[in-house]
Amino acid sequence: MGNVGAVFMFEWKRSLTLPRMAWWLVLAGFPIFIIGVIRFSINASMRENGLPDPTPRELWIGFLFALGPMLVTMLGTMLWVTPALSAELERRSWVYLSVRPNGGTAVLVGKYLAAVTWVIPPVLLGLAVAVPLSGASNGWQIWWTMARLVLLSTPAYAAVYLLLGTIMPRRGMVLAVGYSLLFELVISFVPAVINKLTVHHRLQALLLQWCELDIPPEFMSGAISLIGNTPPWQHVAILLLYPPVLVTASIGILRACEFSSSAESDV
Amino acid sequence: MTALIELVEITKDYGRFRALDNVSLKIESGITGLLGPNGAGKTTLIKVLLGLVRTTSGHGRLLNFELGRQSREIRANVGYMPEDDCYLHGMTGVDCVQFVAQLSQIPATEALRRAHEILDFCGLAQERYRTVETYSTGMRQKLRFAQAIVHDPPVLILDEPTSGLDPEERQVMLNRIRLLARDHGKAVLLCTHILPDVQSISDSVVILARGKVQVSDSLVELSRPATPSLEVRLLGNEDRFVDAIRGRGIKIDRRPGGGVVLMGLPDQLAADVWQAAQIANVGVRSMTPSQNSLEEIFLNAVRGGGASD
Repeated sequence: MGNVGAVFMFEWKRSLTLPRMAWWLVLAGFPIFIIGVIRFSINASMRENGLPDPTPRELWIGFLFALGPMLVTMLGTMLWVTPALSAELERRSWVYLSVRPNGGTAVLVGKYLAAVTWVIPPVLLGLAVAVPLSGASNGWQIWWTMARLVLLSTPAYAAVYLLLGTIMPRRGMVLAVGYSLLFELVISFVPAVINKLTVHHRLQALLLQWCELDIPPEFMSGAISLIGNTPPWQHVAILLLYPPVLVTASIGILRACEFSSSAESDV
Repeated sequence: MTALIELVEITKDYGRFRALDNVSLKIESGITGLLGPNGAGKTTLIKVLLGLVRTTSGHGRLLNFELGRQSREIRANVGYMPEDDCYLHGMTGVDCVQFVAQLSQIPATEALRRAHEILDFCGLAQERYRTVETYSTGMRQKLRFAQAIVHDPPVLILDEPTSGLDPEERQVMLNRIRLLARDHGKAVLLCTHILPDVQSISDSVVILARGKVQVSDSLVELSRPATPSLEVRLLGNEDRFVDAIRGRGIKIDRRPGGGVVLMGLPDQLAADVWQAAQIANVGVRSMTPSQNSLEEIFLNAVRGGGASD
């Protein structure tokens, strides 16, 4: 575990550079910016017509969910974790790290932990500003629900992207973007068994059950066919299983494959 | 004596390409030069030893640890200096060395202490707080060497440790390697293209070509010519000396740049040389048993003239 800690500390130290701090602020600022733009454009339009704000609480929750536990979390973890292996292969530093006892495993796990702990704070901070900015009622309850979802989604998404980056290091980012668009944004909305494989499906189900949403009866059957009747604890348990299972799978792939250097012609 | 590295019929294929072909090898402690032309299989052999690639067939041991099965133990006991120039961006020299020491499971404080000590030893004391991007090629070379030895491994695998160094630095680096082997008991596998480096510090040599071991023996044995001979350099008229030697029935070979090679056992020829020199009235400047140069040994091996020990 000592060498995992060393990689974790090293990655955090490396993240305290100006470009990475700027990226951290972009992640935190993105939901604030989008919610702010929506809120003030609606306000301006309502003021022009002399009408009250018509945006229902459910719509704001939808926006906040799409931005916080979904988009920003996916983006943050994807950009950090997917190239965990390929970055070292390209820099030719992999061989330095992998020739240490359990060096490869330490690098993967250390980078994974660093990414998770680096992504969660800006998302929570962004939501802490975006929720009150939206003006939705019961703001504290919304933030607390979103925070719990972020705490579940970040390790799960990071584990998914770590696995994708390990399966195909040189095309990991393409694979991760493809997976995110196809599985997390399209297939997760398909009311079939396959959507249960996505992180989005679990988060969506938890959102509906934790946020006490006021869904009109005519939409209720559609919502139930999409999310099913699974109790929340099962969704939480499955999301908590993602990291150990997928990180272990990544380590297994790492051990099975021969990622010794970027120069495959080296003999 | 137990072999430090023992390989038995190791074969490694990359698809259809056979990088190592039935390699059987025993390497004892001391400094061993690993030589071979490009594509000979040196890098693959090192990767096999470190457990970075799996063998297609065969088995072996390093420090009594089974290759492929006890990679963790092997890596804990081996310091590897790769050939590739690589550095961890944004870090100072001391941070880099501390980081790799921690990866070898040395606690942070101890890793820092060792990093300073090793950087002093490697001649990077003044530059330790500079970021590694600002290092010259020679400094990076020394940094890589520092990273390889920071966890005090009993075995060192050094891939081109002197490339990119100026002549003076090259000598200093070779002295460091010699010091680690002689005074600290490290076993060193030195992989290089610079034959004089191997000649100057190695105890034994392994030459690979086309994935096969062509030569594996001690440098002393390899340097001994097939036909024993004595090389004599003279002061004075060489022709009279040659006549006098021929008169004693000894076969000779004259060197174009001056000097005479006498065929036969050096110990038995010495008396004849002194007597012939007296008759010819010439001075004997030097008298040394002839040796094969490493270059000759290498070229013979690569052209297919070598034989595995």
